[in-house]
Amino acid sequence: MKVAIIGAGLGGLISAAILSEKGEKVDVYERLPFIGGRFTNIPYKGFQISTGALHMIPHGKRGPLGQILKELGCNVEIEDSKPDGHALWEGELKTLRRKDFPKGSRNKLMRWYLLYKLLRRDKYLEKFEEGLDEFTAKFLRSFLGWSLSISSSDIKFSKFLSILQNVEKYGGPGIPIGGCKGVIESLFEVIRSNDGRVQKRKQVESILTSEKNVKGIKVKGGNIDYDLVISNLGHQVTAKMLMRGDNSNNNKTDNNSSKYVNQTSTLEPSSGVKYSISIDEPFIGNTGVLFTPQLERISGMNEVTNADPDLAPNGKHLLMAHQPVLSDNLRYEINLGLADLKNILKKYKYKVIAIQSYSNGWPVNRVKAGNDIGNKTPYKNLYVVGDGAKGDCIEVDGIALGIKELMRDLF
Amino acid sequence: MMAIAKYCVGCAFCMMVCPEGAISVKGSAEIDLEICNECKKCKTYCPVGAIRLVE
Repeated sequence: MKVAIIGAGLGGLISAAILSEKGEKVDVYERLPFIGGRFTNIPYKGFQISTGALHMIPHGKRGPLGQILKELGCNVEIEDSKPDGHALWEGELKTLRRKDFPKGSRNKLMRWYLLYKLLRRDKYLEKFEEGLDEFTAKFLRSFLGWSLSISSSDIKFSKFLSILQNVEKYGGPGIPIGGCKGVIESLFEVIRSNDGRVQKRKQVESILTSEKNVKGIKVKGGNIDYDLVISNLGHQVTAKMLMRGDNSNNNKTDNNSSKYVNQTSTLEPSSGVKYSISIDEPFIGNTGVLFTPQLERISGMNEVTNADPDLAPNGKHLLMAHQPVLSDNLRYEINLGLADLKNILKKYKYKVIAIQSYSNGWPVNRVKAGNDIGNKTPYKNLYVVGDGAKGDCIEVDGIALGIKELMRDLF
Repeated sequence: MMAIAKYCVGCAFCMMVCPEGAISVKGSAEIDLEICNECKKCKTYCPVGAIRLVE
């Protein structure tokens, strides 16, 4: 089978690695001059700055991504976080076991769980948040901000429940050695060793269709036929590429691709800001997440050099902080984030070396967590992978889970 | 002369790849045109096509 993969982000490369390992003939097309998209590194001032993700895999070795990497024999090491995480609360580090949360809030979770299981009652999480004790409510907010870049009004209880159940099933996060790029290079090696092709600076202009099938793609220089096309660009961009390639003489407003454009037009991306901080003395001192529920905007931090010192120059640590964007004014959001950092790091010598924001066409997630519509498209040999088609799992583990589901469909 | 369009998201790839250190980013990018030598590396790395060459 001849397969075209559009986009060499994490989703595209995982798909390419799996399919090339199965013996399919795989071509990956990437418009940018590097592979990995929002899951790789750019060296800057001696630090390995991630292009998007926080040099962290939400469920470490045991999660869906860790499992896929292991099955593929990828040469990348993931150091599982120890401890998983803490919350900084009134100057103290609080552990995050079930029993660390007040009984009233634990009981509420159980009540909502039963109402959902027995009566299928499902509401937005903001309703659940109402009336929780202060610690649980604020921790919930920082967990959603750190893990998913959303607030409680963005996600239904049932979807949050799946994410919570995955945390219990797979456990806490891990840090890939070499950062995000360590994962990307290991996947690229699998693709290369199976004679798959990855072309950079090669833009796919449109996807070519006939009736309910995809025939191939159009690139500069001509059309190329494929048996299967996998898009790593999210449903919306994919739909637009189909519109451009749709040569049917039907009424344009009533054909397959324009219906797909309409169906996907309401999907919303999530926005966030990430701070890469150079710090002389370790602030966290371990490989886990530090949730910061009492800060105005910053929801959590990690210090990846505690797992891989090579992510920073000698004698420095790389501390990363993340915040969701909760208003329309990005500058204001960033000023709140910087004030949070000043407040929490006041006793430390640090320097913010990069402020990176993500939104719109280059977002945290192309589809907000809990709102994904799956891998399928109206065309039976065209699928979408990546952060626009996640399974019910956090971030890159959601991407991996989405691809696992797709592969079950295909084979 | 390089210019930043309004759809810059602020991912800072341009800042990190600029060999002259001419770009700073806080929510969106700013190019110091005194320092910029128009190598266009920022333009090739920009994921949203926000950097343009204008005469």
